[in-house]
This record gives sequence, structure tokens and C-alpha cells, in this order.
Amino acid sequence: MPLALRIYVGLSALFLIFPLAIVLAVSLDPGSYIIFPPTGFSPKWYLDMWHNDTVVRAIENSLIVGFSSSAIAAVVAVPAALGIMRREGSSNFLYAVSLSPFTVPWIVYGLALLFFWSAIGWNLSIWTLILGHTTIAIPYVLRVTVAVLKTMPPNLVRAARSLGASPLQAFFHVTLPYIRGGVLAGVSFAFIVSFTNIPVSLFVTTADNITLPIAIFNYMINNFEPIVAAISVVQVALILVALFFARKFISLERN
Amino acid sequence: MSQLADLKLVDITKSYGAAPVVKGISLSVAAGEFISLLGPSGCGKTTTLTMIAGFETPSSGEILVRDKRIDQLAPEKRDAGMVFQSYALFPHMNVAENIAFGLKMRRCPQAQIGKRVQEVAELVRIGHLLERQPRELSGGQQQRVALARALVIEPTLLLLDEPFGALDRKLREDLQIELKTLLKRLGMTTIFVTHDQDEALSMSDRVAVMNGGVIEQIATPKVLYDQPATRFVADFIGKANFIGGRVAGWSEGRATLQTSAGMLSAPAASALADGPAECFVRPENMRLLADGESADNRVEAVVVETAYFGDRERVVLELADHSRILALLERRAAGVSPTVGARLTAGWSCQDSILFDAAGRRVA
Amino acid sequence: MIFLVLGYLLPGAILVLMSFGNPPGFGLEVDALTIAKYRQFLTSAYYLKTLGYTLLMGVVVAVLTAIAAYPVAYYMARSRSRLTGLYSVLTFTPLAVGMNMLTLGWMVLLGRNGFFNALLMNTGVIDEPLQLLYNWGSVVVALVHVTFTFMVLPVEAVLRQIDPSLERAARILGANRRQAFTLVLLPLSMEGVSAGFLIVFLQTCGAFVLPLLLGGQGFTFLPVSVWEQLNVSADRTFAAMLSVVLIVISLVVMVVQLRVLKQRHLV
Repeated sequence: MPLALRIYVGLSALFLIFPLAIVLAVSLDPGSYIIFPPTGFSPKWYLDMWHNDTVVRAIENSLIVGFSSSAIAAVVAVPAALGIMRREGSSNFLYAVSLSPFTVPWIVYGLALLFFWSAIGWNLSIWTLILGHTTIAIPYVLRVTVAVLKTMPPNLVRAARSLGASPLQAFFHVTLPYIRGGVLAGVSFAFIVSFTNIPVSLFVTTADNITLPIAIFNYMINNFEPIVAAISVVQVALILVALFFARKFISLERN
Repeated sequence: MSQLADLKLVDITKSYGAAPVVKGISLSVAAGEFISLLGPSGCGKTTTLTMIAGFETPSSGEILVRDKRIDQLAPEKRDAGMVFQSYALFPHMNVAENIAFGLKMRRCPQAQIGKRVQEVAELVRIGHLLERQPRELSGGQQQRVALARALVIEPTLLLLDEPFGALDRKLREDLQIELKTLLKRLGMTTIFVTHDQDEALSMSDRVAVMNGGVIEQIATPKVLYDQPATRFVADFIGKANFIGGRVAGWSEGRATLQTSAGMLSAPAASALADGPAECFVRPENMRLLADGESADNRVEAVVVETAYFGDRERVVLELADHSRILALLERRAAGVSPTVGARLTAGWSCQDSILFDAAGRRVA
Repeated sequence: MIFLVLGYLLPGAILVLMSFGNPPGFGLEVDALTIAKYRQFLTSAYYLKTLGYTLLMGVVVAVLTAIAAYPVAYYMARSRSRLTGLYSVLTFTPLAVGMNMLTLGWMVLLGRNGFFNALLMNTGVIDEPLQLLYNWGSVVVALVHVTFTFMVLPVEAVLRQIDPSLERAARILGANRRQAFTLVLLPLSMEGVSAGFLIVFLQTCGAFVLPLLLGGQGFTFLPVSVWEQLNVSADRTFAAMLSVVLIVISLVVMVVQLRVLKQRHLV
């Protein structure tokens, strides 16, 4: 590996992290203005933010929506993945269609969601939010699950069947454990997508079901204070915790 | 015949960090010679080849081609052709373009390229495949393309890295013969890496048997087989029997060894120090002795296993100390056909024995 | 089995229903009016400019990201160092961290009171803070930052599949490092590069938060316009129409991608 390449890779790593490190630095600035270099060093905003009702509610909502949508997405996507694997002929087309949420810009999707709910007369609530997030989450779980299923030797299920397992039992005792790692990876990804999502949530949130990223977004548009940085960092921290547990599951699966 | 060796390795070593992989290799290859580097995986043979090609530089030592140092040169500046284990045919070019690549790199004029590609393709009998894509070819055909690609640039050295590994047995044997004939015709100096001793022995002028980063012995196949220099070589090449014991004495060119199976003798030029040693004999040199028959070396044994191969019979014998030796009997010596469980005497002549000392070196 | 049917019909259904909810006017307006909106769009220089800028931005970001990410992908695919594991987690961070933190980060880096200006002023290079933010450059840089991993992933995947001996074969045949790259590696990795290119292009054209917050007032970008139409002008139908345009762009890109995929499967 030429030295120049290694240096470049190191620099690009720096490029990737730098803005995030800056935010961290700013969040610890007790001054009321976002300025660099920071005027001080205190966790003031981290403590203050818990007094803010909107923020606290937003965190709750985001967690609820995140977990529910990724869970529902998994329940829907796993059987779908199995279905796709089973039918080889039409599978590619259906597969592409089910992945389409990937290519449609989220902002368009959010707008469409808004129109959809009003067209069928539902009021915006946390459920409309969850359903919206689930739909964008499904492709993530689906893609990973299909990829893992493709690596599974077909004889595994046959072996189970020949030993007396019914299709359902074969699924639970053989297929499911095999894909578990992949599914969990997809679910954690879906969780992250939901938790950080702005464009879709933007159109379907109200004061009641506001999510964390939207709360931050509103803040950023209106006031530019360090508290925003602190809340962002908390958002990231929550994601990291989720990621951490997800990786644990995956490495458990590998071993 | 040129005086210059086409390739000379002088005390080459290679370590990755603290781990030494090649620990001092010296080798001299004459023009037109076919040399194999033979050994188990991890012995350093591929690393050595990689250094000759230029993809790694030696930690110390020199590599010379016709007395010019090349060990610090980049691979593209060395005049070597290489055939890789995976053939490494460029998938986005057809056969003709693959073969022409080296010529293009050497700025060979377009008019000449076509002609030379055609010639070399016919040499390896793929002239009819020039328009095909590599993925449309069989393993054997891909191999030939790889060879053509390396030969068309008329290199000083040809390097082959286990080129037949991916082919089935019959194809492999056919290709081995074909390759050998072709290279001899071209007078191409060749370095061939393999772990398959049959391959190495049948194709090479000389074989370098490698183990743990050093060359245990370089010699012609016959010498390697009949006069292995170390215990490793004796064991690696062909089949071997080793019977351990202690040096007991010496007289008139023969040393005697005290073993649990009896006293054995082997040739030795001079007296030996006392100590542990092993007597080595090849299975095909052993005979099952009839009553009253004599031999220089005799051991009592029980037949444990027999396997009949048509042209020969393989008999596994167990000695008094429960160690096992192998005897390979030709069909002609049919008289004593052994049955499992039978007690008999196996014997062989002193000339067929070799003594190895405690360090694994042959006793001259 | 029922599950399966439900499984992939559901998102498909929702998506299709969405698009029905989406046509300019959701069925309540007369056709004539809806076409009028389209005409308004097509004849408006402002909106055509917006469309043009959006597509241009997509291409620029995709090209820049491709160039920036390729060496990283090469390193990840070929290096045996243990750092690659760490690095792959790193490339995910912009994604996982969310738009907020990223935008904030770039705002702080590039703002008048931000990092770069502070650095340059303190070292005496400049006297007045530079206007680094609220222009094209800042949006492009931030978008490259966000889409970086989307480019690294497919390129790395393709590079991994390429037999490492191929480069060596080229070298021993006389090609120097540069030639081995351009004549062998690059053509073979094009698949991955184009896959990444498409993804980054789409992400950029659909990007909303970054251009809005980093682009400033005069910045014209299609997804931002959609939002503006909705929130600022309260013109739902126009917003809907603009988003249809976006969908059309995405569909075109998706069709192209499917074509490329099909070719690959055949090959």
C-alpha cells in the first residue's frame, strides 16, 4: 500500500469525522451563541435540555416510532424475503418494485404521505407516522434478508424436512436462526433511518407526535444556539447505543 | 553454452515484521534449465517466486539475472513472464487482446503484434480461440492463454505458480508433458512452483526441495530420490520407512545401528559418534524373506494390512515396538503372498539403507 | 404464505396509493387546472433554472464523490490491516448521525464565526471572515460528506471481487502502476462506480435539509422548492406538481439502474 494512499485514507477519515467533532465541541459551550472557538466548557446544555417539554416528548416519540417501525418492518419484510427467494421467475421484478422506496426521494414520499392521509380522511397521529416510517424501513430489512438468504445452502431446510420437521418448524428452527444476524442488522439500520429521518417526518408530524430530528430542525431554523448541538449529540448517542447492541447481536450470531 | 547463469539468488531472506518466511536461499539456474521449487505449503516457495517476479523485495540478499542485479527493480522492468495460479486473464479483453497486452506495453508496432500473437497462439494450440472471451474457455484453454501471454514477450525467465492446481488429473498430466516439450524446444529458463512432487520430479531438470524457508536440497530428481540429503527430503519425496535406534559400531564402510527390531546396517564412510540415529529404506527395496533366505538387514514383523494394486502389492508391517513400516512388493515376487496376522521376516540390502543422524542430516 | 403476499404487496400498495394521493390536485381539482400548473412550471425560467441546478448539482456531487471515494474503496478492498474494520464503521457515521448533526457541523465549520474563519483570522492569514457558507460550495461539500459511504460501498464490493492477481499480471507484462490501474482495474470496477454514481445522484437530487440550511436564501433547489411551496406559499398543488417532477427524475434513474442490473445478471 503506497504511503500516499494511506495518508489520503487517513485524511478522508478525518474529513468524515471532523464536522461531528466540532458539534461535540460546540455543545459543551455554555455561551448563548454558537461560535468557534468555544467560550467555555460545561455540560450546561445537556442538563438544561431535559427541562424542555418539547425535547423530552420528541425523544419519547422518536424512540417509540423507531422501535415500532423497525419491528413491523421486520415482520413484514422477512416473509416477503422468503417469498421472493421462492419464486425465481418474477422475483427480480417484484424485488425491484419493493425496493423502490429507496430511489424515491424522501421528501416526495413525505408529501405523498400527507396527501394520502388527508385523502382517506385520517388525522395525523403517531400511527400515521409509524406507518410511514415502516414503509421506508421495509426495503432495508428486505434487502439484507434476501442477501443472507441467498447465501443459505438450500439443503439446510431439506435436511430438516427429511428429519421430520414441518415447513413451519423448519422455518423457526433452521431458517430463522440462520438469518437472524442479517435481520437484526437490517432492523438496526431501519431504526437508524427512522430515528434520524427528517424529510418524511416533516410532513406528517404535528405538535403531538413530533420526533427528535424535527424538533432539532425547527430549532435550527429559528434559533441557532448551542443547545441545538447538545440535543443533536444526544440523538447521536441514542443511535450509538442502538448500534452497539445491534453489533453485539451480530457478532453473537457470527460466533 | 553461456557461462552466465540466467538467474542467481544469493542468500535471499524475507521477513514480514518479526516473522521470517524465507531464511537464506541461494540458487543458480543455468540458461534453458527447468527448476522446480517444491515443498509443503508455508515453506516459502511462493514467496521466493514473488520476489523473483518483483512483487516483494527481499529483506536481504541479491537477485541477479545474467549477472545484473534486479532485486530493487519494479516488476514491469524485469524481463520475466509469469503464469499465475488463477491464470489472471483480463476478463474485459478477449484472448487476442490478453496475449497482446505485454507487447502493447513494450510498444511493439501494431503490425507485428498481430503476427506474433498468432504465432504464439498456434504454438500452444489455441489459434482458433483468439476472438473468444476468457470466461467462455475451459480451464485447460485458459491455462494455455496464460502461457501464451507470458511467452509472447520472449522473456528471459518464465515463472509458473502452481499453474495446474485447478485442473483434473488426466488434463494435468497431458498438459505437463506438453509444457515440458514446448519449453525445452524454446530453451526457456523456467522456475516452477508446486507442492506436488510427481509434477516436480517428472518435469524438472533439477528440483529444490524447500522446508521452513530454506532449501533442504537441490538436485536432479534421481539424486533426490536415491540420495536424499536430509530426513525431510527422504520423507517428502516418495515413500519412506524410518526405523530409529542408536549407533552401535562401524567397520569397513558399514555402520551398525541397534534398534528394537534388531541390528541394522547402512553404508557409512567413516566411524560415527554414538547417539540416536535413524535407518531409512524405501518400501520398494524391501522383500519378504522365505525361510532360510538371508539379507543384510532383517526385521521380524506382523502383517497388519495388505492392499492389492494389480501391478504391485502394498503390505503394512508392524514391528516389535509397534511402529509400522511399509513394503511395496512387485507382482513378480509372488511366492510369499502375505495374509493379515502372519508373522514373517522382511529384509533389504545394506546398500539400500541410509542413515540419518539426530539432526536429520544424512550420514555420508 | 399469506404473510408473504401481504409482505410484498403492502409497501407496494402504499406506494402506489401515495402516488395517487399525489397528483397535482388529488382528484379534487379539474384537469385543466392541473395542466395549467405544469405549464406554469415549464414556462417559468425560475423553475427551469431550479431543475437545471438540481440535476447539475447531482452530477457534480456524484463525480466528486466518485473521485474522492475510489481510493478509499481500493484501500478497504485490498488492505489487510485491521484498521479497515474501524474505517468501515467510520464511513457509516455521517449516515447514522443524521442530517441535523451534519448540517450543524458544517455550519459551524464554515460560518462567519466558525472554525475555518477563526483559524484563518487567528493565524493572521485574513483580516475579515470569509463568506464560506450559504453558497454552492458549502452545499456540495456537505453533500459529498453525506453520500461518501454510498459510493464507497458498491465500489469496494466490486473491487473485492476482482482477482488481485490481475494487477500483478499486468505489472509483470510491463505495465507500470498507473497503466495497471487505468487499463485493468478501472474498466473492471466501472460497474461499482456507476452503481455508486446513481445512488449518489439520486440522494443529491432528493436532498432537502442540507441545501435548505446550508444554501441560504437565494439558493434554488428542487426539493427545497417543494417545501417552500407547501409551507411558505401554501400552494399544495404546486408543491405536489414539483414533487411529481422529482418522481419522474427518480423513475428515469431507476429504469436506467434496472437496465444496468439486468445486463449484469445476463453477463
